[in-house]
Amino acid sequence: MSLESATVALRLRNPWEATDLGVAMVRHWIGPVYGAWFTVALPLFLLLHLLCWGNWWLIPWLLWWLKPWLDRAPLYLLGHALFGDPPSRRQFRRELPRLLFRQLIAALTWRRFDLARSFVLPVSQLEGLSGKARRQRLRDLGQPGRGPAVWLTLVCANVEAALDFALLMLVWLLIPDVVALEFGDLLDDGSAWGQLWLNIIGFCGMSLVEPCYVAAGFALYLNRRTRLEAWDLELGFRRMAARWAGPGRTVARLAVLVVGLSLLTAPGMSRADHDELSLCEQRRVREAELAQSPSPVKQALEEVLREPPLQPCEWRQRWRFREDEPSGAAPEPPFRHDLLAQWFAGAVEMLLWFAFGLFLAVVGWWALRKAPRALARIRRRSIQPSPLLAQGRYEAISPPSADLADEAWRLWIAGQSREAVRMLYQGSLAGLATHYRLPTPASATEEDCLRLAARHLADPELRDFFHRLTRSWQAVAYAHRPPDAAVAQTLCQQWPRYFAVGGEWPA
Amino acid sequence: MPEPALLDTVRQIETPEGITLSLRAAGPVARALAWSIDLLIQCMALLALLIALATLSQGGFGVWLIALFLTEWLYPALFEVYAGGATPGKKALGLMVVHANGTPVGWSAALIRNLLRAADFLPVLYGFGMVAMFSNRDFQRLGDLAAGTLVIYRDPPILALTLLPGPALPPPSLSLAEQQLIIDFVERSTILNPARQAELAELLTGFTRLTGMAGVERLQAYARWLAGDHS
Repeated sequence: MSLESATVALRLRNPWEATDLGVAMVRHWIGPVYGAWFTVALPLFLLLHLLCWGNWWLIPWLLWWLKPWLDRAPLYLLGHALFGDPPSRRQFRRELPRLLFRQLIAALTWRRFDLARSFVLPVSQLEGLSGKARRQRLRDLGQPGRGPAVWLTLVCANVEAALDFALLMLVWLLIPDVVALEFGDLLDDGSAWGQLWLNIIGFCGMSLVEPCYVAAGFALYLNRRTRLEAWDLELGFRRMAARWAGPGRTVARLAVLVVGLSLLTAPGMSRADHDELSLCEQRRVREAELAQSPSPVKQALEEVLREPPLQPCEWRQRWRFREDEPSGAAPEPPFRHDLLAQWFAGAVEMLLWFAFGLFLAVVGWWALRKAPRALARIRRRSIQPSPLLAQGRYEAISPPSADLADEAWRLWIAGQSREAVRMLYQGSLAGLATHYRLPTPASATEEDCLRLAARHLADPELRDFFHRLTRSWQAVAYAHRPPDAAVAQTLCQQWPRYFAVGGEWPA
Repeated sequence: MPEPALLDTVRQIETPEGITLSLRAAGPVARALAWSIDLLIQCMALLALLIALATLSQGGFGVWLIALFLTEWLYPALFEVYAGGATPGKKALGLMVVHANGTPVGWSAALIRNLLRAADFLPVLYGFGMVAMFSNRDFQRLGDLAAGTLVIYRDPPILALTLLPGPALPPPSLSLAEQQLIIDFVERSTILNPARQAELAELLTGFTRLTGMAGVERLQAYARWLAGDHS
C-alpha cells in the first residue's frame, strides 16, 4: 500500500464528513461493492430459508446476527479499490474463504455487540491484527475515533428500519385497492407468505444500508489514521520533495545538452550523406551514431535527445479524403452473392421504394388538399391591415360616408344638436384616420387629437376647421351649450370639403 | 502529468472573480442527527405549549393545533433564513444551508426545500429523501434539488497560530500550499510521535539538507518565520 496510489482525497475531515466519504465511495464503486455484497449475502439469505424451513420468523434475526460476517466482502473490496487495485473476480473468489472464516467466532459472539464495529473491522480485517496487538492498536486509535462510529451505528440502524417501512409502504401504495385488503390480511395473520414477504423487504433494506455502513466505518478509520499519522502531510511533503528534485535534474541535463549540441554541429560529421533523408530519418541516424559511440558524453547526449521535449518528430493522425491516397490498393474482392442475401437486399429495396412512394403520395395529397387553403389563409393574413380603432371604442374604423354632413344638418334641424355635432366630430376622426393617415389612438382625449392634428396636418385650413369643430363638440358635449345655428351650418357646409373626398381604404 | 481526480465530497464553485470556493457537502449521517435534534426541540416546545394551554380547554387545543402546523412547516425555514442557514440541530452539527452557488438561502429557497419535505417523506419516514441523497453527488434530497440548495459543513473558525518559541529562519521559495503544509506540520506535531515527525521531515531532506530531529527543528524554524516571527 502506498499513499500516493490512493484514489480518494486524503485530507483531514471532521468525522461526519468522513462518513459522507464512505457513502461517496459506495456510490463510486457501486457495481463492485454490491457485487461483493450479494456474492455473500444472497446465498446466505437463501440458505437460511432452506435451513429454517417453516420457522420463517427466525430468518431476519439470524441475518441481523450474521451482519458482521456479511460486512467483510464489501470492506475487502473497498480496501483494495481505495489504493487503486480493485480485485478481479477470481482474486476475490480465491480470497473469500480466508476472508469469511478469520476470527469468525469472536466477531459473532462478544464482538457482535460492539457499537463501533464498523470502525473496528478494518483493524482486524485489513491490518490482520488479533489478540493483544489488536487491542493495543484500538487503544492507539482512541476514543475520538470510536465515538462517531457509535453514532454511525445508531443512525444506520434507524435508517434501515425506516427504509424497511418505506419499502413496505411503497409496495402497498402501488397495489390496487381490492388486492391491498387481502395483502393487509396476509401480514396480519402472520402467515408464511406474509413472513416471507417481510423477510424479503428486510433483506432489501439491509442491502441498501449495510454496504454504506461498512464504507462509512472504513472512512472513519481512514480519517482517524490520516489524523494520527499525518497521511495528508506525507503526501504533500512527497509532492514538495518531487518538485524540489525536479528542477535540479533538469539543470544537470541541460548542461549535458549544451556540450552535446556543440558536438552535433562539429564539422566532422558529414551532412551530405543525409541530405536526401527526411528530418526524422536524419535524426534517427544521428541518434544511432551517438548511441554506438564509445564516448560516455555522447551516450549521455543520446539519452537526453531521446526525451520527448527534444524530439523534432511527432506522430499526427488526421482524416483526409481517399483521393489523396495513392490508388495502389487492389480493388475490393467482389462480394459473394448469396441467394438469401440477395433476396433480403431486394426486400429491403422494395420497402424503401414503397416508403418513398408513400412519402410522395402524402406530399401530393397535402399539396392538393391542404395547400390552397393554407396559402389563402397566409395571404389573407398578410393583406389585412391591422384594424384601426375608433376613438374610445374597440371597433374597426371605416371611412365616413360622403353624405355625413347632410345627415348631421338634418339632425340639427330636427333639434338634436348634440347628436349632429357628435356625428361630425366622429366622422372627422374617422376621416383623419382614413384619408389623412392620422389614426387617433383609442385612449386619446380631444386635446390629444388636436395636438396630433396640429403636429401632423399640413393644411392650415383643415387644422383650423378641426380646431373649431373640436371646440364646438366640447361645448355641446360637456357644457350642453350647442353652437349657434350659423356656426353649425358652416361646419356642416365645410365638412365635405375635407372629408367627403371619395374615401379610399388605405392599403 | 494530469492528476486523476480524487474521490471527494467537495463541490468546487468558481466565482465570477475567478476565486474557487470549496463547499463541503454534508451527507446523510450528520443530517439525520441534526434532524433528530430539531425533532426533539420541536417536540419539547410543543409539549410545553400543550401543558401551558391545557388550562384553556377546547380553545387552547385549537391554538395548540395552529402552533403545531406552524412549527411543522415554518420552524426550519425561519431558522434557515434568519439564523445563518442553520436550524439549532444543524448548528449543533456544524451544518448550514446555502444556495447551490454558495450564497445564503433566501425565503423562496428555504420555503421550497422545507415544503417539499412532504415529497422526501414519501412513501413514509423519508424513504425517497434517503434514496435521493444516496444517489446525488452533493447529497441533495428532493427538496434541495427543487430549491437549488445544498447542505454544507460550516468552516471552523480560524484560530491564531500557537507555536513554541524558538529561532526563526526564512525558508527558501515556497508556494502558498507548501507554506501551509509546513505550518500544518508544525501545528499538528503535538499529536505525532517524534519518530513519525522525523520520518516526515526526512521526506524533505532534499530541501532542508538535514536528517532526523534536526530536520524537524528546521521545519519548525521555517514555520515560525512564515507565521510572522522575523526576529
